[in-house]
Amino acid sequence: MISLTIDGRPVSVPPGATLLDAARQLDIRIPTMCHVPGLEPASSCFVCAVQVKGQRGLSPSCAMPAAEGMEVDTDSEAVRGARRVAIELLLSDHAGECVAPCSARCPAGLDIPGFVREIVAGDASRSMRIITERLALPGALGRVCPRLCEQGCRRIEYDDGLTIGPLHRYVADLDREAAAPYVPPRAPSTGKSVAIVGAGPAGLAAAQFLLRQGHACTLFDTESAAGGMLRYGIPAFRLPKDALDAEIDEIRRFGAEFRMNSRWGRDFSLADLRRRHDAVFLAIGAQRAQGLRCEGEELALSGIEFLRLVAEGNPPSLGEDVVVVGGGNTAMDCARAAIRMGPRNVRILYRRTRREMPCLMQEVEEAEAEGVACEMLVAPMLLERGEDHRLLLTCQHTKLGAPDASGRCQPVPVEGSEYVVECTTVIAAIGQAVDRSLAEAEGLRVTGWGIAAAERTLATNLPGVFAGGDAVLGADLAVRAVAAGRIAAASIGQFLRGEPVVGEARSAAVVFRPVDDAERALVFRNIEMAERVPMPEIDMEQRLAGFDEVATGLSGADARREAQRCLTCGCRKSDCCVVRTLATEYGADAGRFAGERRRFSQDTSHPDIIYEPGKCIMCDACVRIAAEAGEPLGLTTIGRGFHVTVAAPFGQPMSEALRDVALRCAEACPSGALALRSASGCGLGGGCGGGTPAPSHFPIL
Amino acid sequence: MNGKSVEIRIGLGSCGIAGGAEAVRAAVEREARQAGARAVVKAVGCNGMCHREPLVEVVEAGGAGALYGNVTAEAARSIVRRHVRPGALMARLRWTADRASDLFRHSGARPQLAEYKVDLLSGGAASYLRKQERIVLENCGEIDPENIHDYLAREGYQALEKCLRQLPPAELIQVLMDSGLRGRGGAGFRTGLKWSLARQQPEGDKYVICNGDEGDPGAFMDRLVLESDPHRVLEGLVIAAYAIGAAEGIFYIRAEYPLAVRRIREAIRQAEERGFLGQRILDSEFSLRLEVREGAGAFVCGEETALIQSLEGQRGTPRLRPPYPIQRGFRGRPTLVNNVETLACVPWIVRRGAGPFNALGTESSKGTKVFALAGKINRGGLVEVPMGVTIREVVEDIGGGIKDGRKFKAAQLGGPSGGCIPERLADTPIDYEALASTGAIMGSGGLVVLDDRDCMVDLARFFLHFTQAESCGKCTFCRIGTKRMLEILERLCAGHGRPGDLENLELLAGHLSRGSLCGLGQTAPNPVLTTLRYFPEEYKAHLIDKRCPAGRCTALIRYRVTADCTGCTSCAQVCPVKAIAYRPYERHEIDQDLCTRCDMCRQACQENSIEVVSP
Repeated sequence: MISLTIDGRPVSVPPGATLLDAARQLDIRIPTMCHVPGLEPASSCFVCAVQVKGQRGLSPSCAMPAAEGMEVDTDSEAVRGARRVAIELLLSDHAGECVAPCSARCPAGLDIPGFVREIVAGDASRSMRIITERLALPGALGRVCPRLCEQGCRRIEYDDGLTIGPLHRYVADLDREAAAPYVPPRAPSTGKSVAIVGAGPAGLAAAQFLLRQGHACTLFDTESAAGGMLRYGIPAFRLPKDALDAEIDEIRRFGAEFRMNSRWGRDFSLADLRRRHDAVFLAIGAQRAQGLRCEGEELALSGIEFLRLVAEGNPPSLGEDVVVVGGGNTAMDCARAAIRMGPRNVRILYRRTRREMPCLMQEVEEAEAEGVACEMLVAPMLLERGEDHRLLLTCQHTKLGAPDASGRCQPVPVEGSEYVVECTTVIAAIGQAVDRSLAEAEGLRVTGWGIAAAERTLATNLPGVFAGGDAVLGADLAVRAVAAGRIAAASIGQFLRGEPVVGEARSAAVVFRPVDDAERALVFRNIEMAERVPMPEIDMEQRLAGFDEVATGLSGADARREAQRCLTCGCRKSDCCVVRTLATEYGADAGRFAGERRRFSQDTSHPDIIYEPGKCIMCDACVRIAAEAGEPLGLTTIGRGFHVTVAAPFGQPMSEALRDVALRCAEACPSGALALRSASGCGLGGGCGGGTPAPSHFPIL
Repeated sequence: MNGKSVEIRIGLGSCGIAGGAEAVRAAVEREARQAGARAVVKAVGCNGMCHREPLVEVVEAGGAGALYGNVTAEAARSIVRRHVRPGALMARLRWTADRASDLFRHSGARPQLAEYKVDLLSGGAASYLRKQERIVLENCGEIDPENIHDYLAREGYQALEKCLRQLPPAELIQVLMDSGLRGRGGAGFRTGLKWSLARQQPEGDKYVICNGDEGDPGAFMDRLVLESDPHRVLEGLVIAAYAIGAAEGIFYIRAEYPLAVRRIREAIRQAEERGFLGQRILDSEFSLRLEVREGAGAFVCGEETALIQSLEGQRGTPRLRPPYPIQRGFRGRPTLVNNVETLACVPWIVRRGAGPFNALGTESSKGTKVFALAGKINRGGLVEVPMGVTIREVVEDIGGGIKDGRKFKAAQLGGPSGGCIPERLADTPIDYEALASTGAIMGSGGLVVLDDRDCMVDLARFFLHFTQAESCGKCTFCRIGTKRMLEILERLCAGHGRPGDLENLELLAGHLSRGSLCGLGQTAPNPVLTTLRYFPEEYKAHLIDKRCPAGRCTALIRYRVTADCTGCTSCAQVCPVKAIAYRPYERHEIDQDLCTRCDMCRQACQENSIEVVSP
C-alpha cells in the first residue's frame, strides 16, 4: 500500500491508484470533465488538476499515480484559480448557448423551448409542468406580459419571431379546463408560516413557491379581492376577471390563506407580523399615483384610481371629451377603457414621441384602432375649471433635447407654443410610486424607488423580512414581480431552514451569436419560412360595446402550428452539462477571454444523437469509448492547435462512426457536443436522464 | 587518402546543396576528370560554416591545403587547376594553355581565387573557429558520411569495441555518469542517470530510440550531425542499447530530413555488413536490430511520449509522465529516448574516458554544446562551444558581432521554448542553470541574435504563432490559452491593445506553464515572459502609445524620405503598390495610404535616405 496525504488527511491506496482514486476514498470531491471511469485517462481538460507538494506545475489527478509520501492539495486558491481559468477558456471557444435567447430575456427565466416543445408533442400537462417550474399566473401573464422574450427570438433574423405569451396562455387555459389540472408537488408541512403583504403578482407567486416547500402562507391585502394591479390596474378587455380568478383560486386551493381588506398600518404592523409569523414578504406594490406636476393637478383623475373604479364596476362619469396624459401602458389602458364608456372624444397627450413611449407599440395601435387620438410632444402646464364645469388644460408643445441618463431624449418646452384644450375629464397616467412611509416608520431601509432589498436574495435590513416586486423596483412589469415572488420564496426557504440566504441557484450561461452570414445560414439550415400565427380578436363593434376580452386565444391547431415554428434554441444538455455545472460552481466568466471561436456546425446524420463540434472540449471521451468498443470506423482527433476537432475519419458522417456506442458517447460527453436527439434540455431530463430543475441563468456576453 | 593525390572535399549537407554545392561538385568532377586520376573528389557533410556555403576544402598530400567558401562553379574549376597536378601528358598541355589564356582575360571577368579563400589562421574564419571545441562536430565536413571507411579512419566504432571488450554495462554507465553529460534535447536530464534507471527496469524487451525529430524553427544541429557523421550517432545508439540491455532500437527522424534519413539508412546497412550491428555484434553476446522511422512533421512529436505514440501508429499527443518512457514506453516496455547530439557525444566520451569531457565546462554543465547561430550576426552557422563560454563570446567572437554595425539587443535561446536574454545579461555563461535563471533555457541549440531593429513583441508573437499552430490541441491551456495569448500579441502589434492585455498575458502564461502535460505547453510562454520581463517598455509603447520602438510592426510605423534623397527613382521603381511617384531629381514622397510597409524602398535606396518612423 502507498501512503500519502490529501488536503492534510492521510490515506493509503494500492499501487497503481491515481490521486483521484485516493481523494475519492476520502470523499474529497475533485471535479472532472474528461475522465471516463474504466478508460485510459486523457488528462487533457485540467479541471481535475491538483497541487502535489514540491512540483512546480499542477498535476491532473485522474492520471497521476499516487506515490509514497505525496502531499496533495486539491482545493487551494491556486488550484481553484487554474480550474476556473481552464473553464473560462473552454467557454470562450464555445459555439453554442446554454439557454435559448428567449428564455435568457425572460425576467422569470421561463424555459420557453421546453414548454413549447411539449405543445408540439401534444402533452399539455407536461408543458404546464415546465411552465409552473418558473412562472406563477401563466394565464394572466400570457395575456398582459409585454413579452421581452419575443424580442430575443432568433427567428426574428429569419422571418418572424415566435409568439410566446399566447402559447403559455393557451397551455394555462387548457390545463384549467382539463379533467385533472396540473398541481405542482408540495413538500410535507414544515410548520413554518410566512406572512405576505400584498396579494398581487409578487405575493401570489411567492405564496405558490413557498407552499411547494411546505410552508404555510397568509396573504394580507387592502382590497377586497386578490390580484393587485392585475385586477385593479388592467382592464377586463385585456385580462378578464374570471381568468385571473381561476388562477388565484388555484393558489388558494393549493393552501394559501387570504386576509383581505386588511391594511398595513391600520389593521396590523410589521412588528405584529414578525411576531406571529416566521418570515415576512413585503409585496405592497407601487400604489401612489403621481400627479400631473402642474398647477391644478388635483382636478385630474388618477389613472390607477380610474382603472380601479372601472374594475370594481363603479366607473365615474367622464363626459364627452376625455384627455389622458401619459405614454405608458396605464395611459393606454385608461384611454381604451374610457373609449368603451361612450365619450365623443378620447385623446392621449404625451410629451415625447412614439419612439420614447414606454408602452408596447401594439397597445398604441390597438388604442388608435379603437378610436383614441394620440398627440405627441405635448406637456400640460395648467389645469383649471372653466365654465359649465368643463376643464381647461393649458398645454405647451415640446421638442426632444439631449438624452438623459436612461438614454431617452428629454422633452424641452417650446416657448410661446401654449394652447388650451377643453375637456370634461383629465386622467393623469404619469406613473406610480411606492408609498415608503410605513416601511420607513417600521425600521426598513428604503431607496429612491422603494424598499431596499438585496438584489440576489431580496432580503431587507430586518432579519426574516424580504421585499420584492414593484415595492422594491417601483412600478414595473408583472413578470418581474412574479419572478421576484419566486426568488423571495427561495430565500425565505433558506432563511426558514437556517441556511445561509443566497437566493436562487443561478447557472452560468454562454451566449451564442452567429458571427457572420455564413454561420447564420447554418443555424437556419433546413428551417422552412413560416409566418407567425395571428391572435384571433373579437370585431371592433363588440370591442367598443363593452369590456369583453379582445384577444380570444389560440385554437389547439393554431397553437401547435405556432409551436412548431420554435427553433428549439438553447442546449439539449443545459441541465446536465458538466462544463456548465462547473462553470457555475467556479464562478467562471465566459466573456473573460473572449476571442475567436469555432464555427457552429451540426452533424444530424445519426438517428439517435446530434453532434455539434463547436461545443466539443476535446476530452476524447467519445474517441476512447469508440476505440475500446471496437467501432469499425470510430472517431479521431483531426488537425493541430486551436482548430483541432473530433470527427469521424475520412470525412465520414457520425452515423458511420458510431454504430453501437452512440448513446454511451452522448452520455459520457461532458458538454452538449454529443446529445441525444430526443433530449429536451427542458429540465425534465433528457440529455443525460437527470431530473433536476432547470436553473436560472445570468447571460454573460 | 591516396598518398600521392589531392583530396577535394565538397560540403554536401542540405545547407551546401541549398547553396549550390551540386553544381560545384559537377564542375570539380569534370575538371578533375580532365586532369587525370590524381584527385579524389569527396562529398562531405557540413563543417558548420553555413555562412560560407558552398564550401570546398582541398587537402594536399602532407597535410597542406586550403578552404574556399561561397564557391561558384567557375571558381571551383580554378580551385581544381590551382591544386591538382594533371596526370596525362595531353591534359597537362591543355591545362597549361588554359592557364595561359586565363592570364590574358580581363581580370574582372573571372573570379580571383583569393577572394574565395577562407583564411583559417587570422581574420573572421579564424575567430569563428578559435573558440570552438569540436566533439560532436569533430568529423563534420571532413569525412564522407556515406563511407564507413572514413569513419573508421577517425577511430570509428572503437568506442563500441571498447564497450564490448572491456566495459560491462554498469561500468559504461559509470563512465557516462562521471562525464557529466546531460541531455542535449533541451531539458538537460543526466544521461548516465537515465541509462542507469533504464538498466534497472525489470528484464524483458527494452527499446532505445534516437530522437531526430528536430523541430525548433531555425535549429538544424541534429540534421547536420545526422547528415555529416551518421555513423557517430549510430555508434552512440548501439552503445546505449548495450548499456541498458535493449535488443531493438529506432531512429526517429523527421521526414523533412530526407538526406539524413538516407544516410542513416546507409550507415545502418554498412554497419550491419561490418558486424557493428545485428546479431552477435563483434562476436559478443550482444545483438541489436535497428530501424528508421520517419516522423510526419508534427513539432510535438519531438516530445518523447508523443514520439512513442506516433511510433505506435497513434496520433502524436503527449501523455502524463509518470510513468516515464523509461518505465513504460514503446509497446508498454521500458524505452530509452536520447537526442541525436547526446548520442553523438557518447563515442567520444567512451573512447577518451569521462575525464576529458568532464574537464570542459562549468560545475553543472559539462562538455560542449552545438548551437545553430543565426539572426543579425555576421557569421552564422553551426558552432560547437565548450560549456561556460558566455553568450557575448559566441555572438561577438565567433559570430563576428552584429551585421551592418547595428546594436546587439538580445539573444534568443531555445526557440519557441526558450527566452530572450537581453544584451545586458550577455555575459551569462552557456550553462543549464545559469541560462534557466534568466528565464531562457539551454534548449536544443537555437541561438538567434537580435539587433535594435527587432521588435520584442513581434518576436513573442512569432514564437507563439508557432506553438499555437503546433500544439496538439489536447490540453485546454495549450489549445485555447496559446490562442488567446496570440490574439493579445497580435492586437498589440496592430496597435489595438486593450487595458488588461498585459496582465492577461502574464496570467495565461502562468497557467499554461503549470497546466500543460508536455514541454511544448509548459515552455510556450517563455518567449513572452522573458520579453515582458526584460523589455516591458516595449510592450507598454505598443499598448499605450500605439508605437513600435523598433520600427518593425507594420501597423505602427511609416516610411519617410529624408532630405538626403537625390531623386534617383530607385525606390519608385521597386515599390510594388506605386506608393512612390516616379519623379526623377525630386525628393520622393511616399503615399502613406498606399504604402504597405514592405520595406523594399528602404532596401533599394542607395542614399540611405528612407527611414522608418513610429510616431
